[in-house]
Amino acid sequence: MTEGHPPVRDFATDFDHIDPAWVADPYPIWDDLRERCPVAHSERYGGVWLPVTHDLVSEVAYDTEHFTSRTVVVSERRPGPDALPAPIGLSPPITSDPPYHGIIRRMLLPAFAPKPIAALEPFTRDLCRDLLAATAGRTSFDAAIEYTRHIPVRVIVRFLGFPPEDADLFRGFISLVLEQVDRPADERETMFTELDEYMDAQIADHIARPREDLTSFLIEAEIDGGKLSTEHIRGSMILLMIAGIDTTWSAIGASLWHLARHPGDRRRLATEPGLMDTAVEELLRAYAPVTMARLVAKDFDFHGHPFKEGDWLLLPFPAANRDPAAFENPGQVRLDRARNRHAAFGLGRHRCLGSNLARMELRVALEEWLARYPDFELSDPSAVTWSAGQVRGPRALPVTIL
Amino acid sequence: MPQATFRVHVDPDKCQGHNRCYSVSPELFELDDLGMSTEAGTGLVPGRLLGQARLAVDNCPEHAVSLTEVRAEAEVRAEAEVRAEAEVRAEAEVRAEAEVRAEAEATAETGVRR
Repeated sequence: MTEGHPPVRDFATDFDHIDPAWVADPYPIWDDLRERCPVAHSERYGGVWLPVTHDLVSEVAYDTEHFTSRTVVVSERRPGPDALPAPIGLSPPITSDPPYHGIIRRMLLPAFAPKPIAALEPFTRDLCRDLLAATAGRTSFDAAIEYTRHIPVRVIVRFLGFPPEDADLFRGFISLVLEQVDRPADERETMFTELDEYMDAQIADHIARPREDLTSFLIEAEIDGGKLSTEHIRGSMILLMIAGIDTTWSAIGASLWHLARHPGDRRRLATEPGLMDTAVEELLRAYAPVTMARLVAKDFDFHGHPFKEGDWLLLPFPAANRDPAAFENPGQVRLDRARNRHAAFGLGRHRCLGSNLARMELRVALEEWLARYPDFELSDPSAVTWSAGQVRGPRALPVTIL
Repeated sequence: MPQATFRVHVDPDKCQGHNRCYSVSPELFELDDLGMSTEAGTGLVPGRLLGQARLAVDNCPEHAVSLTEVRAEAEVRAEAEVRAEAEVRAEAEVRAEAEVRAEAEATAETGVRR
């Protein structure tokens, strides 16, 4: 996974978010950096900064003057000042800056408000039940492979109105885009081209036969009286696929991983349905899967650090969620934590567009799992593997049903 | 001793649609078509929902929800009204006194003429 990347010498001056130590357990690294820095720097990827306190993460998230979102995945290919179409970016609105960002986000928000998302809940529940039914009769299986990874991709594929059988195809794309960031630039280009071609075919099909789905919604959408360009529609669809799949898969998996290791929490959640609301938020806080990124927009001094235009910056919301200055006993998971201002879905104008969808999927996936398997444990803790990159979740999660 | 009353408010410039306040208290908040939150009605919090209102404040990642005591507000208003009334009364008294004086003067004048 880290081919070509030498081992990290010191996370304060040489961090790498695909280093095996970070991938296995980033929390002690962030705790250490919070004490020592709290803004770490690395020369890798052409230069990356890493603030790890809640205050600094918030400050960057709210500062759209000194930071741009034109690209939000740190890779070897650091874009130059003119490499990406500002302020739209390749996948609006996540890669857009204000004021354009607000316009395009406003157009999308109604599709992701709680009410339309609630309409997807019965489908999600049936899907979870079917996946669990397929595990019947076995006492051990991989929950990441057989359960969690299928849920978000199938929900998104349905939301976009793509053929259900293409779900597996997408998981492949997404793994390449998000997890294999150390692949050579030309290899990454090739797979992006394939993804573009697939999306273009879907757009053409939806133009020919409009349906009640998100793809037709995007085709019909207007901004200032004009339709969106094909590039724009494609970019937004790719964003929804990428942002909606690995992330929620990770959140569901990490939550099951926690429950597998904590019998008390598991039993409490299985027997006290009223606990589910705070439990979902607490699991999102403790195991927030998504670290975002920004590019520094102009040279400036950030708390004594010389930020240069074009520098990368990792924006670790999961580290903010573990800051003792913002949360009491942040390392402890308390399913009934009542006061929980977590930043799992980001802060400020780029708040995760799909947060209502993700939350619904996580809740339904846990409810259905616990209804069928209230008692379970890890088959082999050392067999659990975690994804590398900016989205963290278990990719192998062998469990034994008790 | 009147019971304290509170009002919740969502700052529309800060709300980003996390939907946490509405999840905690669907009675105190309303969502628009974009999923952004506002306080329901005038934002006055019935006593039984005060706990929910506090949780809404403490769970908003954007610090967009605020809770203020309106009793203080009402008292200030009441005091101002009392003050204004007193001023009106005082003015009326001054006017009345002046009238009495004027009348007395007029009477005196009449008396003199008489």
